[in-house]
Amino acid sequence: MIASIIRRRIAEFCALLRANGFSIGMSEVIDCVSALEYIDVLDREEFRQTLMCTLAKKAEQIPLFLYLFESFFSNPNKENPQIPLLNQGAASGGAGYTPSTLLQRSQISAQNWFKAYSPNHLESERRITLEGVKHRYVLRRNIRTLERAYPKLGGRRRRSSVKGEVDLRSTLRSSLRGSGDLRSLRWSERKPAKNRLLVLVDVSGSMDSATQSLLELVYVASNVTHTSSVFCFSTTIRRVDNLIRGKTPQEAARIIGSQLSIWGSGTRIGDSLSSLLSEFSHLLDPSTLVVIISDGWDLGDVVGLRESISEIRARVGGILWFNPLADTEGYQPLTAGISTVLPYLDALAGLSCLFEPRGVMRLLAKIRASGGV
Amino acid sequence: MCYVFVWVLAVVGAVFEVDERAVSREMLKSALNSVGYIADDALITTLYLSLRLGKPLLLEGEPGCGKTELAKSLSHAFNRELIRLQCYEGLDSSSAIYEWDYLRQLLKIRMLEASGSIPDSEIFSERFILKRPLLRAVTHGDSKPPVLLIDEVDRADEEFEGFLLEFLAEFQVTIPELGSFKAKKPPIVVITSNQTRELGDGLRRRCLYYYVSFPTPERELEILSVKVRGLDEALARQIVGFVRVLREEFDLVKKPGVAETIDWARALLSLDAKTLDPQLVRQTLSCLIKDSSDTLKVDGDALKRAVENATAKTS
Ligand SMILES: Nc1ncnc2c1ncn2[C@@H]1O[C@H](COP(=O)(O)OP(=O)(O)OP(=O)(O)O)[C@@H](O)[C@H]1O
Ligand SMILES: [Mg+2]
Repeated sequence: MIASIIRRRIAEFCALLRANGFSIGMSEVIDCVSALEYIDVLDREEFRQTLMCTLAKKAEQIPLFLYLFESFFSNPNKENPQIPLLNQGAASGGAGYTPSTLLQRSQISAQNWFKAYSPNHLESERRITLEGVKHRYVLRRNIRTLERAYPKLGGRRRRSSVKGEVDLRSTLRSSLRGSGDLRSLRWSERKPAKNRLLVLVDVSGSMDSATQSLLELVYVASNVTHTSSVFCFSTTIRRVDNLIRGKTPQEAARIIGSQLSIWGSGTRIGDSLSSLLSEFSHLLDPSTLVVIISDGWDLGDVVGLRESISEIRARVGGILWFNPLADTEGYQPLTAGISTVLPYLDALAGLSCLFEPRGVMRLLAKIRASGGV
Repeated sequence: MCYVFVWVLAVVGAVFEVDERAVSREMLKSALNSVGYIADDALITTLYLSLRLGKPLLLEGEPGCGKTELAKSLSHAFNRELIRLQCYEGLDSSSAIYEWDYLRQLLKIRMLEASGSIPDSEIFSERFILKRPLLRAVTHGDSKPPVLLIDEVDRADEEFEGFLLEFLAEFQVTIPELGSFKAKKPPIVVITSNQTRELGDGLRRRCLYYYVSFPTPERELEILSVKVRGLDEALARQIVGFVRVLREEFDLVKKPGVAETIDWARALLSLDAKTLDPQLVRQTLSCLIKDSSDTLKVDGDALKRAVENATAKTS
């Protein structure tokens, strides 16, 4: 596992690259992070080349990449290095630099480099990794809670309890085990049925900043139960749970990265939902709870989106929508995508809800208080 | 001593099955060295990652600096079949994937007719397929995936690039009459481009990227010592110095690549030259300069100064 401090730095660096006109989608980020597993991240040259070959894929971007790399990774003292947004033309063409001359010029002393990952950082790595495990635990708990979001639907299985109905069979058994007299009654109640979860994760470019959380979510949701189905979508939709079930997180990340060509492109929620309806309609029934994770930035047409979501709503038990944007203070569901689907949702919540202890439980309580579910 | 070591490595590599996904960077480097390919550490790192992650390697860069050669050397070093798809304008699926062998089909039909039976589905069996590079790359024997070189992909049109994208995602070829062929182990893919056309983002996204620039003087010296045996070291330095001056100080349409440096060094070696002088350079300049307008730029005083520059720097 690469240290989460480095991973966070990579995410920040990708944001910087993006702000400077690099087209970096999820597949680039995943490649980069998985590649770092194979190299010595304390070797600056190796580290830089790994980032470069996974993130900068055009010749004319290389000078700018090197400039940004040097500025970003040589500034260990600043929390958020403020690097001016460069005019790309000026940086790449202007100074007459060719990739090769810049490559040769950009040697920075190894000492500086080690500072970028100071011992403090490496110390804190262990703690952060542990947090990561706890984080996964929380996520798992939350997903389990989601599975039981609809307790009103009693299942066919029963469990013993102190209330409910008299369980004749169990009463008879226990009396036979004794002397044969009917001495005490046994009770049982219907076990609440689990919902089948259908998780739809938006992996389009606009969701990039949440890559790590999404990966984690896709992984946990696929592995926590065997009845859930997990899909990733951007302009198209792809089922992923069967690809990564039973794999280690690293393997899963690699598989998702290599098998999905859809990371990082635009979004067509409507199209994705309608292909869900046509190809996976057998998964949609009243015991299904649909969980959508998306920021609702939609490039498709709104009419199609409305049709699909209303049809899905009619078939399933409920739809919950988790939106990373909704975590910010003062969020209003105003984008065309979100305002279209809003009437069909049981709830719209922030993504962080899934990652906080008891987050889902609180959400469900809120929904019930307002008369939902 | 060093050569013996490299040679032993090469033999070991050839005899034992080398799993390209498990090699270390050092092994990769010495394996390439052993077949005469001198690579930068950055290239080694990129190649290593592309093998590890199972992603194609996309090489762009200056012409004649070893893009094609890398794929060849890789197949050599790992003792793998090299399957080369040379791209050109109008490249279509029948030359890239497969084609029915109409002639043999026709003969077979004749034979069947003569024997009184009706030609049937037998005609459309694997025996009558002419396998082109992409089909060959997915129907290899399973243990040793070949090296698939897709050379100068920029020359093929966008439509083909789109197809290639699909191919690289699945490593699968579908023949309507026969079904799908999927590689048990995906081939090692190297894609080169000379930047005559901008490649799509999709293809770039699939690959790890490396820009092949001119080698540093030290690296180029190393290449010369491997490729041109018997060349005097001092002369080699002058050669590399002069080529560097040409690349950096003359505004050439076509800058000499490594291939040109090697050609020139071989020419000078055959002329038994000991040191560079303007006269000698002028005589042999056609090895280095391939564009007629460039020839005019490197002449007279400019040439004399360049030679002085190169010989002074290195002596
Ligand atoms: N790093 C290297 N090590 C050894 N030989 C090299 C190296 N780079 C280039 N060469 C030599 O240069 C010659 C030309 O290289 P190659 O054909 O691979 O160039 P290329 O980059 O594919 O050029 P083009 O763009 O014209 O196709 C090769 O035959 C090889 O002998
Ligand atoms: Mg070539």
